[in-house]
Amino acid sequence: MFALLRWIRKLQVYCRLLKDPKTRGDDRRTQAKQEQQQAEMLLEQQQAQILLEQQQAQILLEQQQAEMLLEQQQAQILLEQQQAQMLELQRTMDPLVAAQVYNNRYSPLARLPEELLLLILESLSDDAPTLHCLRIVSRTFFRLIYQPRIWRHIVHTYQIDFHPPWPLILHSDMAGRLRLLLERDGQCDNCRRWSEAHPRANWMQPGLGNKCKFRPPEFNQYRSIYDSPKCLDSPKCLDCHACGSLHSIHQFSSFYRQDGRQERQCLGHQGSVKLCEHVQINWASIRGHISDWQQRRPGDWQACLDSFSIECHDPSHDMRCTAEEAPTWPRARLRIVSISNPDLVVLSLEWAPHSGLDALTATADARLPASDLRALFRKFRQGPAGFLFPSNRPGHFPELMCFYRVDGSGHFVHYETGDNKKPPSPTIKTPISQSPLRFALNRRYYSRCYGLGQNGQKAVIEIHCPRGISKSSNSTCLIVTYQCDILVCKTTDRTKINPTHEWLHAMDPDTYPHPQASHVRPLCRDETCMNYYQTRRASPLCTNYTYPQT
Amino acid sequence: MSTEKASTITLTSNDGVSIEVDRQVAERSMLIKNMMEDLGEGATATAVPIPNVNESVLKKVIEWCEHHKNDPQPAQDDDSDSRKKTTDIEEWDQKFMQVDQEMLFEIILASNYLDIKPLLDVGCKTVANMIKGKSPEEIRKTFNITNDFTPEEEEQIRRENEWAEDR
Repeated sequence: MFALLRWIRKLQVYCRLLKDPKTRGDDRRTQAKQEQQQAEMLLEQQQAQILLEQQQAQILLEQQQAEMLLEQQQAQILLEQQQAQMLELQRTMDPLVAAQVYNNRYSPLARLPEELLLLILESLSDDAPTLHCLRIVSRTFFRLIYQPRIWRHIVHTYQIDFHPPWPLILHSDMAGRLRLLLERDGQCDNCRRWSEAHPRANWMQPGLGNKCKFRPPEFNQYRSIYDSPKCLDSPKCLDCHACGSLHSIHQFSSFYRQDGRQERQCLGHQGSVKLCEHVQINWASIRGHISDWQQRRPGDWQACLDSFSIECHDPSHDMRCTAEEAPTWPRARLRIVSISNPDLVVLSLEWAPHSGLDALTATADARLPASDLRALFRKFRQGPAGFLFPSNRPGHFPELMCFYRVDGSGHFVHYETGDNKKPPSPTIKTPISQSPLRFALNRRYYSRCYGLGQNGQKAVIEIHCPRGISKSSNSTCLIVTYQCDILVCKTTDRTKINPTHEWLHAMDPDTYPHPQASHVRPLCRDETCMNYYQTRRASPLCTNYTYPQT
Repeated sequence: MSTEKASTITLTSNDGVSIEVDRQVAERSMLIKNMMEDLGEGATATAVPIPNVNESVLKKVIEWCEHHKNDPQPAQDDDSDSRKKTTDIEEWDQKFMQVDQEMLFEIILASNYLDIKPLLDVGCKTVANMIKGKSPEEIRKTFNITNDFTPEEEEQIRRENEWAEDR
C-alpha cells in the first residue's frame, strides 16, 4: 500500500516536472514579449522625443536665422542711413569738417559734454590699452585723453614718466595688449591666421617688437656676437660672392641658402630701389660708381658724388608749368647727408613737379582750399611721389602737413564748412601772387627723419615765379619737391662698400624674393591690411627702435 | 523739520507729464533736495518742472531712485580713486542699465542735470564697460563715430602706431 502510494507520488512529481518546463517556457516567452513591447515603446518614445527635439532645434535655428537676418537688415538700413547723413553733410562741407559735424550730431557718445566724457575716461583709468584705442578713435578723445587726472593711476602703478603733450611711453605688457587690438582692426585674414600661429611670447621682454626680416630672430639679444668677427665662423653665415664677404643667412634667398651654390648673391644685390615705376637702381651701379672714383681720384668725394645721376625721362613725369622751365624728371643722386653728418653718403631720390600756372587760388583769409590741394597731391601720387613719400592710408595726404604751422598755431588750408540748409556761399578767390600766402608759403617743408642717415623722407613746398612770364602778369606756380634718402656708405670707408641695412629696407619688395624664416611674416598682398608689403616706413624700426619702450 | 515734510512731491517732465513721487525718493537728486531746502515747504504744493528730461527717462530715473532710496547719501566731494577707476557695477544696477543706447545716454544726461552722482557713476561705468577691450574700429562702430582727424593728427597717429605693422 505504502509502495503504491509512494509510486503515485513519484508519478505526480514526474508529471509536475514534465509540465513545469512547459509552463516556465511559456512564462519566459510572455515576459520576453512584454519586454520587447516595452523596449519598442521606449524606442518609439525616444524617437518621438528626438524628433520633437529636432523640430524644436529646427524652429529655434529658423528663429535665430530670422533674427540674424533681421539684425543684418537693420544694420544695413542703419549703415545706409549713416552714409546718407554723411553724404548730405559732404554736399556742402569738406569731408574732414563733415566727419567732425557728423560725430557731434549723430554719435551719442561723442556729443556728450566734455565733463561727462572725462568721467567715463576716469572709469577706464586702469586700462591703458583701451585708453590708447580710444585716443585714435576721434579728435575729441585724442584731445581729452592725455589729461593727467586720467593717467594718475597708471603712472603711479607702473612708475612711468609722463609729460603731456608727449605721448605716453607704454610698458611692454600694455604694448602687447594694445598691439592685439590694433591687429584686430588692421590685419587681413591671412595675417591674422599667421599671428595666431606665431604668438608673440616675447612681448613681456622689454624692447622687443617685430623681428627684422633681414636679421636672425635673436639679433637684438646677441647683437654683440653678430657685430663681432666671431660671426664669420658661425654656420649661420654664408659667403656672398657679389660682396666678397660673409652675411647672416637671413640676407640670402632660400635658393642661395643651399650648399654649394656658385656665384651666391645676397638680397641686397638681388633687389633694387625704385625711383619711379620705370627706373630701378641696383647696388652694383652705386658700388661700381664709387669704387671707380675711389681708384681714379681717391678722397675726392665731391667729384664722385656730383658725377652720379640717374633720371627717368618718361613724358608722364614732366610736369613743368611752362615750356621755358627745365623738365621735371625724377632724379637719383649721391650726396652728403647734412652738415652735421659730413661723413654719411646717401642715395637721394627727388622729384619736383609743378602745380601749373595759377592752378590754385587762395581764399580771402589767405588759405588754399583743401579739396584743390588734395586733387593736386592725388595727381602727383600717381607718379613717383607715391614711391618717394608714401602715404599710409588712401585719402590721407601727408604733404598737407607743410601747410600747418610748426608751432601748432594754425594752418593755411581752407576746409569748406558749409551749412547743409543753405547752398555753399561763393568765396572770393585771389591768385596766390596777390595773397599774403605768397610770402607765408615761401619754402615750407614736412620731414620724416630726413637728413639723419636713415630712410628719411621730406616734402617741400615753394612758391615759384616762372621764367619768361612778365612780372606784371603775377602768375605763380607751386612746386612740391618730394625727397627721400637712403644711407649708402661713409666717406671713411676704404674697402669695397656693401649694402647697408637701410638699403635693404629701401629696396622695393617686388624686386627680390621675400626672406623665408619662422620669424618672418609671409608677404601680405592685401592692400587693406596694415602689413601690406608695399607700405613704406619712414625709417626701419630695427635700426631706430624708439617706440614703445620700457 | 523732518516731521513737517510733505511725504510726496510732483515732478513734471519736459513733455508735460506729472509724476508723483515720495519726497525721500525725489531727494536722491541733489538738485531737487537743494531746491526743496531753499524754497521751503511751500514749494511742495506746486509741481517741480524738470525741463531737460522727458517722461520715459524721468520714470526710469525715479525707478532707480526708488530702489536706492535707503542708500546713504554720498559725500559732496567724493573724489576717491576707488570710486572712479573700477568698472564693477552691482547686479541690480547692471540689469537696470540694460536699455538701448539712446536711453542709456539720456539717463546719464538726466542724472547729471538732476545731480544724482551714484546714478551718473553707474551710467559712466556702463559706457566704460562697453568701451573696454574694444579696438578703435569696434568703438567707432558701437557708438557711430567717424574718423575725423586732421592731417596733422593723422601723421602723429601713424608715427605712434607703425611699430605694430609687420612686413
